Amino acid sequence: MEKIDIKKLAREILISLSPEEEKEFMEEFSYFIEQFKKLEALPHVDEVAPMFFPIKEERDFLREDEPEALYSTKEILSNSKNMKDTFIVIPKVVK
Amino acid sequence: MSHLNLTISELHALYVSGMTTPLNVVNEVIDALQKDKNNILEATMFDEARAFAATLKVVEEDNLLWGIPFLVKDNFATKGTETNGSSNILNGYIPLFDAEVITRLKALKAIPIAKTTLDELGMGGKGITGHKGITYNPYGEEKTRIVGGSSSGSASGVASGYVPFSLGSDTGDSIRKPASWAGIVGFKPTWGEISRFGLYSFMPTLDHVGFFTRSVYESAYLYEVTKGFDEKDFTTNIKPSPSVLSDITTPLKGRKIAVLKPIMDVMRNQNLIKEFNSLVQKLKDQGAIVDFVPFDEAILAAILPTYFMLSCAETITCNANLTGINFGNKVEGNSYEEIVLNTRTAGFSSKIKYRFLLGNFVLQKSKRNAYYDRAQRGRRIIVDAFNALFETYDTILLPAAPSHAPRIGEKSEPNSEIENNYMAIANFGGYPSITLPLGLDKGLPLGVNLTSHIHQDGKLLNIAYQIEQLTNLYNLHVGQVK
Repeated sequence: MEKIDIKKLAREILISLSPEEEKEFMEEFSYFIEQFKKLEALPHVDEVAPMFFPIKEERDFLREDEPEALYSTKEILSNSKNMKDTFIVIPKVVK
Repeated sequence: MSHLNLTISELHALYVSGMTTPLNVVNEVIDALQKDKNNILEATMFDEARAFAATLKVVEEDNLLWGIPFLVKDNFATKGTETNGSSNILNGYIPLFDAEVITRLKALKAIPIAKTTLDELGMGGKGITGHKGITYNPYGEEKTRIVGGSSSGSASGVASGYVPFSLGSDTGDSIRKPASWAGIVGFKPTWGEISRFGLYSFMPTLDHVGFFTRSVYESAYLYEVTKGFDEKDFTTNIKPSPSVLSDITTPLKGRKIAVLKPIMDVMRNQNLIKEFNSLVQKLKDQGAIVDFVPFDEAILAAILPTYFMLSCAETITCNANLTGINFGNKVEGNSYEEIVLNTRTAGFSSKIKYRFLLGNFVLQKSKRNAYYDRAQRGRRIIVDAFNALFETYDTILLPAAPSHAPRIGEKSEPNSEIENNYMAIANFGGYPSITLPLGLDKGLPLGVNLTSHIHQDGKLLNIAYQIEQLTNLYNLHVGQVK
């Protein structure tokens, strides 16, 4: 069975877990570690290149770099609960 | 006269004949949605829909979508209407723009009428993890069965006959599985054919935009009018793809269809097997060549772990912007790190946290090669195997689920994981894939799925259209069955 530091994993992605959540996650984790073994069983799995994208066509293009005013500052900030004037305010970083 | 339970084409015919107006239809749909008991709704756009419908006076005879109301899965951004992805972390978030697919539908004067529930942020296959709780299947006894997910509300709403079509998204089978359990058509095209601009990302190379309808032709039509390059989504296909409507009625003679024998071998529902075999016989009678082909079971067994590992890993990045700082449902803290941690801890459900944790685990430096990279290698083996099959066959035909919709809390039989999760192949390869009704089992829908090679959307829709002719399950909806 894999050993994991669940608190570290959670801290790295900025979430925290209740003790109940930790327990439940460990149960799910065991299930998926078992599932992952099916990948090890794939013939020649470690001999092929990873496939990050399945379609071979070129899709790159460059658009003209033309400035465009889409939204006002007020609109852009309208979904923040931390807005003051034209700023997003957070607690002091340098103390 | 009721305007519910009608297809796009039937509503259009009423508009053309002057027998009703978009406003009449919209009012009736709103009334029905307000009485819905299946928990399908997030935010509504009733006032905007009425106002827009009232402006539609002169019918456009060549435009099937003129005045047609539709539902939108709540992971598509809608300008001015809350879009929270059925997650508490986005409660109150109001986008400044429409998703591109909505822009294109609105340009054709289709009318978005409400947002629909989903498994939180699109992650889940049952329609039970959204922040509003379980979305129910309109079939069976009231509130007893799941409809599937993640596009649960969009599927339930079309099966209920409220609207003739809805928008969904599909990362593993999130359109095609609920379509099966709801007895409707669910289609996702080749990856990159419809812009994902404005769709909340789950795993970008697996995410697809698609539709629920009650006829194959109408899924094809919606695809036809929404596909094509979008400079706001640089992953859309630059090359225009051919029309899928011109050949949709082509006879089946000579079409080559593969049925994966190992998947059929684990099916246990006798009605499903009977209906499926009956369909195969009808296809043969039409001149199609249908082969039950062997397939490497180790590859089939690798589909679920590959999907889970890749999607959990990549979704961490896709959702890293959900911090509560720039937007979203902020929870206070004494530092910005604490704000982010408190916001994310309170905003995500446990199930989402588990996916993120698992994703973070497989991306750890010491684990990445054994897990994440191996899953990407697994993806290649899976896709190569299916690409090889498509060298011989036009499509793969299989039941979309091993049975009808399960009761809440009940596992889907027979639950070997392969038959319940195989449809993710279409996401791994970017293949077009469609589910449509196969029959009824004790009054509950059964679905059949077709998957073809990339850019073979036309051929796929042609075969699906002909299957619909054979099953005669055009415009199946719950009012017809109950």
